[in-house]
Amino acid sequence: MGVTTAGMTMAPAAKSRSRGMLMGIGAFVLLAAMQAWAISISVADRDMGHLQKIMYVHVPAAWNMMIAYFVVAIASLRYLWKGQENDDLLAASAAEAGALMTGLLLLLGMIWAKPTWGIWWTWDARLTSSAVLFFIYVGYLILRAFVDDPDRRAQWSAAVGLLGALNVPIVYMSVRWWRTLHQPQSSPRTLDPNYTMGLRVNAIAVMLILIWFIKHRYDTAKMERSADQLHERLALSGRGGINA
Amino acid sequence: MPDNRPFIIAAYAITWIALLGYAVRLYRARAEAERRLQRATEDLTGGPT
Repeated sequence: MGVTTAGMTMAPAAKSRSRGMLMGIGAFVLLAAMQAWAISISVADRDMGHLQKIMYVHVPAAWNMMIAYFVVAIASLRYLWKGQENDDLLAASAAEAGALMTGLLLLLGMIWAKPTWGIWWTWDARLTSSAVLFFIYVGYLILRAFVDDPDRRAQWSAAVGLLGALNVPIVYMSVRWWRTLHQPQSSPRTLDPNYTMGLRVNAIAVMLILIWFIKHRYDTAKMERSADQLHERLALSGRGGINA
Repeated sequence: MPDNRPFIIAAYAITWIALLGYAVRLYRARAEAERRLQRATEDLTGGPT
């Protein structure tokens, strides 16, 4: 029998961890299989040749970045409305995974840009708005690292998280609103049917990894918070100090 | 058409390094959080649980 501490029970934690590990490994194996399948069936593009295959990693990163920031926005709104700490922890977990996806998106975009456009980077509306989004969420994570008071940290984070999420539609629409070097949005409607299924399955595989990332980070954040609360109780009872 | 294989390989390699690297970081963070929680629980209850 385990001891329950602030919503966390010790004994099932190990079981939950091994189940989580299996989920994570499964998602990664699925991604490897889907990438191999998509690469093997996709024919060379008329203009880009085999460079088109970068789409199977670049576009899923973009779509999943948007999913992560959608979670940040919903959880931040819920926190501001209800004031529950779990919503703040969920928003922070999704923001971390979203920042990873955005960083990956920018790097992959640069790798695709060099052989296609002849340059690694240009201050195009799509690239610039994506970079701004990345720096907003890096700022969000830095803010969380530097504010000690949990309530203030959660309120400020929710505000920054919502501000960053407002930039997501701008990133998405930038290729329509402004004249950009970047092509229009890649979606099953704008793609050659040869590439549609490969893109879909890879996006789903990355989405499963994203869900695993957010869940794993969220569970960890709850455990860290429970440990902090126990240390506070210990310190208040005079039986021990902070043992972080 | 030029040989663009290095760019394709780099794109996939970076994807895997980023995703696996973050997964390992998460795994370690969780293990550390579990240890901290276990220690705090033992401190509070006065022994191993």
